[in-house]
Amino acid sequence: MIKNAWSWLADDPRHRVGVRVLQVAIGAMLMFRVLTELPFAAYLWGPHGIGLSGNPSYFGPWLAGKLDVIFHSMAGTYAVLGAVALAAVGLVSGRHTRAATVLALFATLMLERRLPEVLDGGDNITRLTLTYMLFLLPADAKPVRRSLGVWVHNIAVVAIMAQLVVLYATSGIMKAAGERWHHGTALYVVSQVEWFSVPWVRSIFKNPFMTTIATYSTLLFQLWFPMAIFSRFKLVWLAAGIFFHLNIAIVMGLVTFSTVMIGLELFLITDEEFASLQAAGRRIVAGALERLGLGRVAEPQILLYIDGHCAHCRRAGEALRRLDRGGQLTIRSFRHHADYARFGISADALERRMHAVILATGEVARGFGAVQALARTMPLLWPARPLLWLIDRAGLGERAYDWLAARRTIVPDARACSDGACALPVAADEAREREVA
Amino acid sequence: MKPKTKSRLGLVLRLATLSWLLIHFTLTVGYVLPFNPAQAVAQPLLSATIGTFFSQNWRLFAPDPVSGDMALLARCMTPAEMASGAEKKLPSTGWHDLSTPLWHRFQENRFAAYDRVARPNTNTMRALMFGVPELMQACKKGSKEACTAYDENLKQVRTATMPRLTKIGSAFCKDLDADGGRFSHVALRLRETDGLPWSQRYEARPAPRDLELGVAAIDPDVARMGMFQQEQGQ
Repeated sequence: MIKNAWSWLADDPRHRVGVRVLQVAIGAMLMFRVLTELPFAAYLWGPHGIGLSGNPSYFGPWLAGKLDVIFHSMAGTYAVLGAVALAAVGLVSGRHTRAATVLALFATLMLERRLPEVLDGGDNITRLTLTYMLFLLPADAKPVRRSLGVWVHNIAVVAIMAQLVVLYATSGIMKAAGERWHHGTALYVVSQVEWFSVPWVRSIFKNPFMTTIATYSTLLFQLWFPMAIFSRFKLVWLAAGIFFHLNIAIVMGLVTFSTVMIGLELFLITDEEFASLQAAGRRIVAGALERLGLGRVAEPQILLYIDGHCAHCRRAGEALRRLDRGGQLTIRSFRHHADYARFGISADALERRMHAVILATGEVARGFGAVQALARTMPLLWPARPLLWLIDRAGLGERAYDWLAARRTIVPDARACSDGACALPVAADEAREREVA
Repeated sequence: MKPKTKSRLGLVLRLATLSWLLIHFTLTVGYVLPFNPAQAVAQPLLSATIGTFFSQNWRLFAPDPVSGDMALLARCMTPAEMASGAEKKLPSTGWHDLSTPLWHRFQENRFAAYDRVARPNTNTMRALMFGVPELMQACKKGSKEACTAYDENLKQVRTATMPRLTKIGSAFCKDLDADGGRFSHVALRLRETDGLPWSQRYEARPAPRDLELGVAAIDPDVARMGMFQQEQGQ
């Protein structure tokens, strides 16, 4: 057992998908805070706000005094909020995640110190999690197996898990000591409080069965959480946790707390479990699409020519390929395939605009017309069709497309196509051609 | 560095991080558990480590959830009212609730900052009234150390919280008086409305109790919140 535990910590980085989910959840929570609290920045934290900087812990009195200077001007206050926003973007996008974590932790600590009364449990768990996240591998890191970096990453993963277990176990034990939790009326009591309820929920919790079931299930969920996540009931418990926190967000209004807790619950899912959940999800979606008559078709319906020397075009092609659940699309770079001539398309025309060949009819759509053809063919783009129709009716489609196309950056560099971004459409295209053959 | 030395150093670092993990979470568990004799003895160590760098509180509506509402009321006073002795006998009209309208708006829109701007009012008042709830619970159960710590903490909290409530009240009076200068003082009142016990759940809620917090000179520099005026329908 010790050998297995050592190997779990030493060999490969664990919970990489879970780490990304957690980063996105914390980033989204921080961004939500910035966007909603920014209009009140002067009142809450500004030089003449209600914050009194009364909490010297963490930084110590000397450093805390120095750091306080930042809040002596509105520019400094906005800079701290800007740092939170920047960190949130980094965490959500997965770019420079370690730097984003450092920035997020430092900036949120500054805000916490300035006005601790504004915070809730979500901010508390976020601060602790961000501290452990400092030691996680960056999202795009490719670590050497059994390296020290892998070990430290896995120790941080265990620390985050342990912190979550401490949270649930403590809360469960504390609740178990409460008279109202014992008697099954705790949620009725909370439902009367304006701060943590909504009017429509009050009548629900006056029902003896509802309030008893809801109170005891909360208690049981928290008390059993530390055991359940190491048992075969783990996924059931995590699903219950997500449901539980969605309710807390809606009914009690603790949106930021719930966002982070859902992120932490998803973090507990291993990479292998994520892979099998993803496979199961794909099977369900494919089955549903097939039943709706939108299943994978035998042959592609559209052949799309993009500019393989343009990074934006390659990224757009990659996004379209991901959205192409039914296999209707073949994407090709005209810089690397010269077969466009057989459809009567010239290289000059392709340099100016993206072209889509409707394979069933041989019809060629150009520029904005190609965008419309894609939206017609791919079900996941159908929601965009009304907007595209409006743009077309307003006569803005081609103009907007040409304006954007004329400003794209073209890099005729072999490396641009060897980093995977360009190779994918070609590889997918060849694979599809083999499939069709 | 020789491979053997590197390997030994790697092992030492791995064991050090593992030891940190074990010690850290042992201390964390000691810190978060309900007040107990071991915690009382280890308090200096727990405060210096977890309490300083990893402070946390997971009571989350436990042991007994919050059962009533606590709202902050403010009455902005003009210099004339102050001169006429209104400070000694506070007026019965013109009081504004600074908490409830924010909660009501928050119930309508969960994706807004109403909760965040209402929190300083409520949390400051809760601290003013109860100090540290864990110590209060332990004191009620007969722990003398907890009672001493609770009383000491409550004194400090009361000294520290009134300036914040004064700032909140001042911000409100500035919001109410767009031109500025109409009000010189603000009277503050805490309004507590108890919830009903389960057996009386279909009855009307009891009348609120008011506690006078005092009258303070308006802080002329405090930033306006900009929301009070709108929320009060002014």
